[in-house]
Amino acid sequence: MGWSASDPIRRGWISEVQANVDELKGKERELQEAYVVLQASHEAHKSAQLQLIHVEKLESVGLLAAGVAHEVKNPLTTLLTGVQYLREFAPPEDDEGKQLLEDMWLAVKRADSVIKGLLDYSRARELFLKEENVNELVERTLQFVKHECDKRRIKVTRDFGQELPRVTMDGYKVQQVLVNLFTNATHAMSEGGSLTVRTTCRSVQPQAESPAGAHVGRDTDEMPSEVVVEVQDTGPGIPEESLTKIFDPFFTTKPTGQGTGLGLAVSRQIMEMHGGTLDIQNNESGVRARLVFRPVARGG
Amino acid sequence: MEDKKKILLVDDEESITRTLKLFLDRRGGFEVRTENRGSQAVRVARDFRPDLIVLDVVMPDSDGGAIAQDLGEDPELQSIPIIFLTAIIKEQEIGGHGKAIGGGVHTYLAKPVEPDVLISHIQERLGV
Ligand SMILES: Nc1ncnc2c1ncn2[C@@H]1O[C@H](COP(=O)(O)OP(=O)(O)OP(=O)(O)O)[C@@H](O)[C@H]1O
Ligand SMILES: [Mg+2]
Repeated sequence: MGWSASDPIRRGWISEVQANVDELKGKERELQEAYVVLQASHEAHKSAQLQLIHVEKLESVGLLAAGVAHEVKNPLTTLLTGVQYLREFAPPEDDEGKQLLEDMWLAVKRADSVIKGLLDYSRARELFLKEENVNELVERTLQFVKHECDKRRIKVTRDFGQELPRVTMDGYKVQQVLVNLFTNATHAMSEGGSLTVRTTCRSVQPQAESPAGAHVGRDTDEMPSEVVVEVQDTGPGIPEESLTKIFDPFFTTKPTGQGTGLGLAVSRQIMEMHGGTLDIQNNESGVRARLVFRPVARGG
Repeated sequence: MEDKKKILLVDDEESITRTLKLFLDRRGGFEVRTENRGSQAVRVARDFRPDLIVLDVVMPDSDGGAIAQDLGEDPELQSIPIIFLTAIIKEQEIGGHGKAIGGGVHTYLAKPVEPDVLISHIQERLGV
């Protein structure tokens, strides 16, 4: 099926795409300006209390995200549908044209993921809680990066603890955290390497004042335990001077298009919403990220 | 084909209804009507009798939730499945799939939805 520029429907349609591209360009400029404003406000507040900065950033990103999302996602819908239409029903005959459509598809996807990142960071403060089997969740999530790992010759090793207690969480959000950690690891190992995911469960030392602690000495089955997920890579590690910044929103060392610098900021926020933690360290082999979930009662 | 399934697309952005219609027409199997005024959605549904409605959530003259409510109150229209398209929230935030509004259980998809994903949801809801 050839490309027929004379077909009035398609011609109209192509100018539609052009109009949308133009509109999107405008929006992108707005977004860039908003980024600049955001960064400036970030600088201005550096000296204020940490918590305060956090709240303010959340608010400014929140306003930005809500406004921009609606205005950008609609034109993206037209573009995505249009590109798919061309790919399927009016594919260009030459390789350049085909490549162009693929690039357009990826560009739309990328713009969408930036908006999604902003929404994630600023909103969705509620959790949709459900009991999850952590090993299954990790396994499912590893499937998302399988292709990337194969491509970069990264060996994936699973070191899953047995009989972990189920953890109450928002599985979708925790999956987002894992995807980001896996993605960071694969990006750090462009020349190949190994990605190890370890899940364990450890007993939490009872705190003297904790009412639950009273029983713990007598009945170890009731000792609360916490589930830990560790993601270890064999990449070059994180430079000392970056370590304090990696959780800042928009901190990235990746080229434009590869990273927005929201991954770890969102991830830590998600873990904190769950009453858990996320920390990241360099070690002998590379970088180790560790998620710790809120302790759960054993046998429950 | 004789008995094409009928789909009503309601979105205030003409570029969206036009491209989606073009795509659905081309894929075949559907008879598609579009409407850009949310306020007219129920009237058009009565007239067109779609097998499924794809409905934008945020429109200037009315919102998808209210339209679903109105459709749900009409005995002749309440069983029509609705696929909501939303630009301001992500699927997960509204509970994803299968949330009840008005009479029926409906599907939510976040814009920009991949056309193939939309089609597979349409087919699933139509049982084809
Ligand atoms: N495993 C890792 N090895 C080396 N550097 C890392 C690793 N994980 C994170 N970093 C550094 O931390 C920065 C911030 O990470 P973060 O996930 O927040 O953002 P990003 O990956 O750059 O972009 P995004 O996740 O939004 O796509 C990265 O740009 C990178 O410099
Ligand atoms: Mg990242």
